[in-house]
Amino acid sequence: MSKLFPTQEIGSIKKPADMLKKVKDPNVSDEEKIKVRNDAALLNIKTLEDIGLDIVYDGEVRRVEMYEEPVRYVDGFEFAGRVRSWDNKYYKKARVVGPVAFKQNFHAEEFNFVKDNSNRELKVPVTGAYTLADWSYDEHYKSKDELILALARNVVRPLVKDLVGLGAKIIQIDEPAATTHPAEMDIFRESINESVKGIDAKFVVHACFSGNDYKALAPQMPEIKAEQYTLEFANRDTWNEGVDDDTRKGFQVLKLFKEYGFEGEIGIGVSDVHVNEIESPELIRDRILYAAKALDDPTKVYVNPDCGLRTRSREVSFDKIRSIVKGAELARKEIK
Amino acid sequence: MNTFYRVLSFDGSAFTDGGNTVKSNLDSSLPKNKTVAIPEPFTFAELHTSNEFKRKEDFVINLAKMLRAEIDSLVESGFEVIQLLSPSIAYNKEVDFGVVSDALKIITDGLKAKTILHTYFGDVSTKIESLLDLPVSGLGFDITTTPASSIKKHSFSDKILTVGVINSFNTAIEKPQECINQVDEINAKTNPKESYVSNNFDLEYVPKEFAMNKISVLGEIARGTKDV
Repeated sequence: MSKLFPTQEIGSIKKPADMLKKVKDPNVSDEEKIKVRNDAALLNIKTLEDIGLDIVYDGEVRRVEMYEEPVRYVDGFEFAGRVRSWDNKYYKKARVVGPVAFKQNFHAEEFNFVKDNSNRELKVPVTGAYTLADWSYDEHYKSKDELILALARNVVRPLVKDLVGLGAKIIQIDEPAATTHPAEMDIFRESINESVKGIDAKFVVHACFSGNDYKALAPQMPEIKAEQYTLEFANRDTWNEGVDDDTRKGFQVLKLFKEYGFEGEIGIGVSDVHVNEIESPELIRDRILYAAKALDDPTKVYVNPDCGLRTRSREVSFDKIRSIVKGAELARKEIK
Repeated sequence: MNTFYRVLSFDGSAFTDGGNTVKSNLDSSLPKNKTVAIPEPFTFAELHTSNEFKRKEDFVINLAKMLRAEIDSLVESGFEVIQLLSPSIAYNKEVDFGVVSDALKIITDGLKAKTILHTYFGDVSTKIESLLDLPVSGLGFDITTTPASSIKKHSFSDKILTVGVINSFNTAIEKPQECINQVDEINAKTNPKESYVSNNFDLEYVPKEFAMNKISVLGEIARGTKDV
């Protein structure tokens, strides 16, 4: 993108309550449910466009959530039941009981709708093979590595290929599990490379923050076939304005990426998705300026929230995105 | 497996005075041989942070003092077996067993209960000698990550041996006779002071109905294995 500091979101936004009520109501017809889902998607797309986001999608409004949605449509999985993910949050966990295989493009309807209703650049989030494997029980393959690679080759790759065939140009592979097992970074790298093999698109990898501050990911970054990483930084940064190392402690790891030879783009998380407080545009500006200096190239900096915003209210989410857009504008003025 | 959790930061020294001790009210609702699982100090320190204690060993020792107060309270409530959960000893490549041992001394000295250090989330084959030297009554192993063949190379004549034979990592229900044979073989080779069987780690990682089935199979295994 020719514009400096393009703004984007990561993926999920809390679903509108009236949409959820209607899609769960057995008395509402299928036609009506399609309409309310389309309306909700359109509302998200237009709201993000109106705010001024450069790269948009639909807030994943049609998806159950990032794990259950794909697993529903992949051969080889069988849901086992609900288990704790963290705190009192539970998710429906599946077991792999046979060879995993792609059946259909489960994001096709969603992508086609967004494409038809937006003229902005689109970034399609897709759950990655490593995370799908890590969050499932493997009761079929001989090893976790074997399952991960089977998912990469037989599920994620055909899905991505199909999306690109439909016109998708930017694919974000979501891998929140990636950094939770630092010892498994080699197979993570291989899974991404296998997932994108032979496909002509811009690939973005989203990985959440874990205890080791991306230190295990950094050495792998140059070897992974991704042009951009969207990562979390704001959740451990200070809320003070400034561009010195101490104030921007959450972003210092950017220098490490450069040291390891990564020359691609970083989508910097400038807004903490776990708090309701809205970061000021000035704070976001300073986070962007620090990142531009740390990477020694402002054209490598994209700007986004740390992660999906679905745990925040819609009002808070859109306020955070609004502040991100304003902060990026302020940063552009500083660079000029 | 999804392993997200909230990291605690211990930023004051007050946590060492026993003020956070949880009083147990479980003794009236549990049968005999009451057991409770709590984190082992080295693991606790690995998974959390402290601004108060800059040196890891100081943090570990102070956590051990806090945990001792908790354990004393549990023992007073009637708990007879304290299982010390130690995933970090298995998971971490480098473990300072001197610090682990010093912390465990604080926990076990004069304690009127059995203590079993249970390792999981990694292969401890090369650490078993060091584990056997620790001041605990027994050791527990996840045999899906630490091969039984590694355990069999060692004598447990002065230690309790817990074989984590039920896999909490998947929903497949174990075949009791296969597990019984496996535990009997391990016990025959290691000659433990006492033998326990267990799940390899917390069953909260599988949905409840699978967990209950697995516990039922565990009972069958316990009844079927030979006395040591």
